[in-house]
Amino acid sequence: MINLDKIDKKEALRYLQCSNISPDSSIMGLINECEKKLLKVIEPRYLYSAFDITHTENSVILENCTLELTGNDIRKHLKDCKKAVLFCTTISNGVDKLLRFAQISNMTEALVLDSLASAAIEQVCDEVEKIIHSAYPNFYSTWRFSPGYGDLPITLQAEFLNVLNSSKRIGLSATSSFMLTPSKSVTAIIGLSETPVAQKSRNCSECNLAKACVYRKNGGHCN
Amino acid sequence: MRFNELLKKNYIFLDGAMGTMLQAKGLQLGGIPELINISNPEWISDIHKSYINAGSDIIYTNTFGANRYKLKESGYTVDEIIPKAIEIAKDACKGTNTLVALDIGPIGQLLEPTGSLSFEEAYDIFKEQIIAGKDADLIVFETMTDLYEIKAAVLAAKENSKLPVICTMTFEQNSRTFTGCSVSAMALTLSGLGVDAIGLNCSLGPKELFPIVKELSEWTNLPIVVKPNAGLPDPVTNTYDITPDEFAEYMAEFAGLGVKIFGGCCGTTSEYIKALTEKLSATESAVSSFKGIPTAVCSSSKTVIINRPRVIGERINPTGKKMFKQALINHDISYILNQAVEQVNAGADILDVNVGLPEIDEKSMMVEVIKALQSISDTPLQIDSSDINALEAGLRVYNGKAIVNSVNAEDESLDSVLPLVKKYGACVIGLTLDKNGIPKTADERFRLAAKIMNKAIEYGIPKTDIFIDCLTLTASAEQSAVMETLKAVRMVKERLGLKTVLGVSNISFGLPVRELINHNFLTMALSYGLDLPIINPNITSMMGAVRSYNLLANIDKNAAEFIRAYGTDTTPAAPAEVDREIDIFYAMEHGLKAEGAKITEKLLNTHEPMSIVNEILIPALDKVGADFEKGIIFLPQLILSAEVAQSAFEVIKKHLVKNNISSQSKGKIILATVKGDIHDIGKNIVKVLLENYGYTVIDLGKDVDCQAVVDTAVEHNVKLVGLSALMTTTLKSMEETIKLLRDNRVNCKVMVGGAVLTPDYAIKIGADFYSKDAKGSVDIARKVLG
Repeated sequence: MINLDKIDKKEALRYLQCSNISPDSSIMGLINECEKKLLKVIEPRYLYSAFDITHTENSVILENCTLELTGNDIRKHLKDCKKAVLFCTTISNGVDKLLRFAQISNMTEALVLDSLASAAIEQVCDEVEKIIHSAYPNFYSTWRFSPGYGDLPITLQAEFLNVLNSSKRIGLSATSSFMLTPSKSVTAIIGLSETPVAQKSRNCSECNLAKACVYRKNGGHCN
Repeated sequence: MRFNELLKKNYIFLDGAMGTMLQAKGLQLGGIPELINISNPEWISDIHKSYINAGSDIIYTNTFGANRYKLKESGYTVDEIIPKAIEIAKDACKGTNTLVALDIGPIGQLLEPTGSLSFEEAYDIFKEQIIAGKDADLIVFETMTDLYEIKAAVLAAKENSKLPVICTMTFEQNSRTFTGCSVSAMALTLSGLGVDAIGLNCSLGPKELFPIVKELSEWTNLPIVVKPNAGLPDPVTNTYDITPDEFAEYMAEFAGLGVKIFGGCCGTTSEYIKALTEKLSATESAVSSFKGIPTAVCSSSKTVIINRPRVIGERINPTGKKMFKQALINHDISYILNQAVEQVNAGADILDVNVGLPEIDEKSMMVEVIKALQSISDTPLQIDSSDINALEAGLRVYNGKAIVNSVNAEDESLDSVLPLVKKYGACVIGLTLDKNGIPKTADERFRLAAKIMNKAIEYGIPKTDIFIDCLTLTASAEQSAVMETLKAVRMVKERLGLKTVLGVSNISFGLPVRELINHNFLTMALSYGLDLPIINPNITSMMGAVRSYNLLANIDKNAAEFIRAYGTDTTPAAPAEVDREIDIFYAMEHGLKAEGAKITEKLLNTHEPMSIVNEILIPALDKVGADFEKGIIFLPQLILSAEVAQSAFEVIKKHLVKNNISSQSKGKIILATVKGDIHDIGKNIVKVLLENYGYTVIDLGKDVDCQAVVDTAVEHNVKLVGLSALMTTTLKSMEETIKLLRDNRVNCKVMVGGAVLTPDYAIKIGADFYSKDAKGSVDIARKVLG
């Protein structure tokens, strides 16, 4: 069970592209109000499953599982790892409903809610990671690598979710164009290694969006 | 043996898990279980036989995910898998009385509005499965979490098969499904659709399901099904935590709630079913007695019990409303949604939906509006139309139990409307009038009410679903009729025992101070027993009358709701504070929407409407936009200012419509989030800004077909099209949309935007402009349209 009792507002402000400006009191008031509304409807749910892995020339194969993780980037990500953990998580349908409602009656609120919800799902991911760590205490783990990063095809999304049976177990599925529904959801792969892993976090070099990135434009990055 | 004969037994036993057993036999994670019907039919046959031997009266075919979406990449079709699975099951049952249920689970994709699968596509997918499964003895829909999806499934079954239908949904510990569906909404909606048994399966063990089943037993007289997991799963090993005997012990407790149909879901094996059948054979079944189900309507997540006055909001209706008519003609759905939001915020319990206008296709508009309304609001709807096709289309896509407004006492009306009410399980409003018009006396209206009631009962509609409208006549024209209406309300309520409805506002037509008459008449009607006043909830005194009545009639205990609505104020609100010297710039800068509207109203006394737009609002927006670009203010502030401008525009628009001045649009712009893409907040922000600059935005929404963009551009002669995409995978649709526009030689410019786009890529896919943000789109619009 994961419970969120607050949302990282600093992170939300960054999504609102205003890390450099201090918001006035009316916007801060709105952010606090939106946080309350979201916390009422957020229901964090997650699933994970660990697999022993073997590397092939151009993919990583999971044992007793139909999913094949293809591409150089995932191979690199899982280099030296014995296991890969697939996990998925969502903060649920109620958030989408709230967002739809706000977009009709109050666009500013919708924008703020959207950013807060994005921050919330990241917080939940951090919690899931902690849970995975404690389930596998003898392993070092990599950062979260998601379908669509680098050359790991996003088209894996449906099978990824199917392996975890996520539609039935936590109400998370993908559309035909591989978008996750509910919208504030994440799928990711964490490698488990018996030796320390070198790269601690994601960097811009394997990001497909580096060119269009608003954070980079302002001299920053998303991590 | 048939299902209805089986129902004579005290208990009916289903089987246990299929997936659990298949995994034990070696099915890989992510593998398609239904393919085993082809590759290893003997596995399936073994599993079936183990359940038959354990005492199952009904076994489920191995077809849970045998739908066209899940089988897409498998190399097999629904028509190959399902008949084969039924054949295996029937063979296994040979020589026994065991029945074969065609098992159908969720499609595996979320339906609209959160997902992109439409209700109609879902219906088609289920229809294919049902036709392929025609040789089964009955149909089971299980593990459903979306009421909308199971409604599509049940309609597909009812319209393409005569087999009995069992429905079970999956609830979490909070008594809700993943999509927020409540137990009462499931029971009301599915009972209404005429299924044969309803219940719960999966997600939890029998112990955890107990309170949820208890709640269900209070909402239905249908046979109840319980098919729980073998306890709760361990997150790492994925094994379940209770033994067959414990399972049986817990299950036996359901007998006391009147549950009739028992089985097991994930983690249960034939040992569990065996323990279950043995335990229950020694357990006495509760005498099931017909119980009264509360009169109620619902959406998928909200049930409104009509056990006290409930307000039906009347504002979604074009009659006598110029702005509304224009919104319908311009296909401005968000205007209509705003009417809903306002009424819900004002306290409406149910919303009447009427979109009838000669200039538009009422049927398709009804479908679109109902889908849009239920995507943002969980307030139950009342479908209001004199067009039988629009009525049916609305009932079909409504996600819950609706009210039909209306039928009258004429045979023609009764015979066309009541079958629909029955088929879709709605409530219905009967108007006490016939071809001779509205009878003068209460007695005559009562007679017509009785006629409607009897006819509805003949059609199989439960008495509790029939509401009567004794009809309000105008006091200025027929003063003596007022009391006749009220007398009729009392007679219908007391003698027929039916709920009553009245449209209230009509009473004061042609009189001064209408509001005064309206709320007094409303209070009188409530004390005569009116259950469902149809009113404008935005008028403070009308909601005030209902709230006061509830307090005085001892319905609102301890005045809790009254105090919640009005605070602790004992005196009328003090007059609004004297206007400070603020101007529109100040209001926009500080996000003061109401003030923005007030200032605009004042300005209209001294300025031409269009000069307010061009000389005041747009320069103000420009300043805010420039501040945004300089980084002085950030995005939420920009949007907030834009919303203030929007409220100012609303005032101007109303003024123009009222005075029959046609507004001067700066030009039409289409906005669409491309096919496959369902995140449209960015596009909606662009829309707000463009509208503020005086452009007419035709918002096609999200997941928009390429062809729809082309057709709309041609039909409305649009010179600028804005496309948005969020994902790298949907950029392809963006490219296709642009190509289709070019191939059809549509004379328009295209601007594109979205997180994954770059200026280079925009040029590559043939766009004319790349817009980096919402403000950028305004600059482009100015360039193209002036």
